[in-house]
This record gives sequence, C-alpha cells and structure tokens, in this order.
Amino acid sequence: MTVALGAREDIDFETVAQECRPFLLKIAVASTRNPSDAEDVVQEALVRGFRGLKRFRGDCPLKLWLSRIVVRVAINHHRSVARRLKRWVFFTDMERMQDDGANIPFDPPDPSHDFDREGLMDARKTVNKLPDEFRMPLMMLAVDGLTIPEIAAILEIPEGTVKSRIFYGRKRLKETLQQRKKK
Amino acid sequence: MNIDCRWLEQNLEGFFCDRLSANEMDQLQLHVDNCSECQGTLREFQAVDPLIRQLFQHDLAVAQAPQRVRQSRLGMPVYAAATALIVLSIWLGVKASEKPATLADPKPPATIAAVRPTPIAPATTAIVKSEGQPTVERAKPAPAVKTPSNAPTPAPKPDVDQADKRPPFLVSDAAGYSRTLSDYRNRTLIFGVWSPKDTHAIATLQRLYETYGSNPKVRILGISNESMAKPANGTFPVVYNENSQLLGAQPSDIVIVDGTGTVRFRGSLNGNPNMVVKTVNSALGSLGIR
Repeated sequence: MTVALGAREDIDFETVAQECRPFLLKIAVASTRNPSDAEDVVQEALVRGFRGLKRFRGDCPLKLWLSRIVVRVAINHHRSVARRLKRWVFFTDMERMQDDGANIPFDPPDPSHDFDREGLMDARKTVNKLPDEFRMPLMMLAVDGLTIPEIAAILEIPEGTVKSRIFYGRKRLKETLQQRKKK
Repeated sequence: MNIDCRWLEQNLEGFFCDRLSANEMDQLQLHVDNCSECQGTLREFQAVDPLIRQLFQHDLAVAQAPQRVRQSRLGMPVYAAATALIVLSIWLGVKASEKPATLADPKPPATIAAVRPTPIAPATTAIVKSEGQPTVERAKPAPAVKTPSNAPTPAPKPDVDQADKRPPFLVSDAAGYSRTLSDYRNRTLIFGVWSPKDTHAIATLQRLYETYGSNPKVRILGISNESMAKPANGTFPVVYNENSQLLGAQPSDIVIVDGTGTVRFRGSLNGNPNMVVKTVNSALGSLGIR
C-alpha cells in the first residue's frame, strides 16, 4: 500500500517491506538472543515502521530506518522476556525452544584448533552472555556483505566505536573459550 | 620506533580498529611475518570469526523455519483441539452417510436428538437442517483449525537467482572486516586474484607490491577466493573474496580501478613479471600516477 509522505515521494511500504524482509531477518537474528524470536521481531518492527512512517524524515534509506527499528524492538523484546523470566522462572520452556532450534546440527569449524570442542559447543551461551553493545556488532559482522559503516549506521554509533566493540567482543569471547579449555 | 611482541600486545586494538598509521602497519607486518608468537596471537583473534559466522548461519536457519518452533510452543492445546474437531467432523460425516437409512426410518428426527448426549445436540440440529447437502460441507471446520489466529506471518521468500545478486566487489581483510570499493575511494586500487597453486601470479603480485607498495596513491591487494594463509614468498596485503563478482576478474587476473570506482585496466598475471609491471606502469601513467 502507498503512503503519502508530505512533499516527498510516496512510498510503497508493502513492496519495500517485502524486499527488505530477508535483510531485516538477518539483522533481527544478529540482534536477538533467541533466533526463534527473530521473525516476530521483524513483524513487530514492520508494524511499528508502518505506523510511524510519517516520522520517517527521508535522510537515510528506508531499509536502514527499518533496521534501526528492528534493533530497538529486539532490545525491548529481550528486556520484556528477561522481566517475565525474573517473575516466572520458566527455564524448561527456554530449554525446549533451544532444543527445537538445535535440530539443525551445530558444528562450528575450528581449523586452527585453538579451542576445544566442548568450548565450541558452548559458543552460543558465551555469545549470549556478552552485553548487547558488544554482541550486536560482533554478530552483525557475520551478516554477509555488511560493512563497518553500515553497522555503524544501523546501531547509530561512530565507526571507530563499532570496531572497538567488535575487538572487545572478540577478546572476551576468546578469553572465555580459552578459560573453558583450561578447565 | 621498535615494533616487537610487546608493542603489538599494547596496540592490538589499534590493529583491529585501523588506527595504526601506514608506516606502523608496514613495520608490524614485517615483524608478524617473522614472529610465530605474534602470528599465534592474531590467529587466536581471527579464529573467533568463523565461529561467529557459523553460529549466525545456524541461527538464521532456525529463524527461517518459524512455523515448526511456533507449533511446538503452542503445544498440546492446539493439537488436542484440532484432533477433537477432526474426530467430530469424521463422526458427523459417518452419521450423514447413514442419512438414507435414517430417512427411510419411520422414526421422526426428534427421537434421535433425544437419545444423543447433551453436548452434541446442536450438531444434531445442524444435521437435520442440512439434510440435502453433501457430506463434504460438514467437514469444512476441520481445515480451519490448522490456521491459528496468532500465526499470520508468511514464510520468507527464498532468494531467487543468488548468482546475479552477488555484490560487484566485497572482500574481507586480515582483521575480518568487509571492504567494498568505497573503502578505496580516492586511491587507485590494483588487485590480482591468486591461489596457492598459482605461484606465477604470487610472484608477479609480489613484484608489483615491491614496485608500487610505497606509493600512497596506490593500494595493492592480493585476493584469494578462499580464506587461507598468506603465501610464504609474498608480503603483499592479502584479502579474501566474500562471494562477490570481483568486477568480473577471474583467477590470475589483474585489475586496476581508479579513485572513482571505474575499471581502467584488465590483464593477466601469468605473463613475464617485468612485462606485467611495464604494462601496469603505462596504465598508471595514463591515470597520472608516477
């Protein structure tokens, strides 16, 4: 459907949303801690984007604007889940969801044999323990073709900060995995 | 400035954050090439990247199959309701197929309704009302059960024709960052595609790097199609192709791209290294670079 945006050109939101959806899903996967929630996060972000389209100033591509919404929705989603978990400790459900996801074999490569196998299998837990500010740029770096300037634009932080956070994310991950190896 | 293992340890962040000067990078490169300990330190950092990439691909595959997960989260109540309704519709269908016999029966329908238990009474009334209709009509509620109201999201469309959608130029550098042509804007980029087997291409690239590596207007890259270690006899910067078209360059090709991103020269690395350098020199001369 087409939405009039004042003096600017009309935007066919439905077409843009369909075109961006695979990309937004990748951003959602990189932003959420549970990949099963990524599709819901994208859906919620698209709804919010459509409702708030009049606030889109047009100073960046719509895809980028929607990506920023995806990141915010993912953060809010995680916080609400964390609140709920705090109130109702429901770990069994979380474990079941993780198991459902793990139907696809998780077999990370380790060509240089720097980490032990058990540590690699725990990589998900280690990554999820990283704070959002380190985890998100690190995971976004794995999105095919996403460059540092693009990550900086999505997260709305300077490029140098993105590189610095990626470095500290890698460092923490490396240290955690090596500590596991020593144990 | 003396660049040693301790210096690298203190400036690791600078290396990974592109904060080192060209001079520092060159000296660091020389040190790392000859120091196995520093090579190990950098390798440990770089070993995290494939792990993260694999984790991301796995998560993406999970996210692209949301229906299965959602069903399992809804769990028993939906399955139980669906099964109950299917059983009910089959039972109604069986009863309807017995209709001719019921019609032939002299007993009035009211008697049948009286005999049946209370919860099914409305359904029995429906049978009486839709007496002339075919059985298929009564089985309609069953498929409706399979679409719960909270699952409106369509499955993501598969990417069509991946080959044509590959980016024109996308490589990842030693620090694991993706680079596009815009990162080499305002510089003339000379890149050659090499593989470990192609020793001739490696030697020619090394020769080009020795000739033009110190020129600040020129950037030389050796691109390999797979992530692999730097060749033993090469000190030129090595990057890896991230499934891009490389501006149409094939293995053992050399391409010169000007500061605006326009391809100015295409050639092969397989000729005589002196001739290749001479050809590149004349190509650079036409771009005003000496």
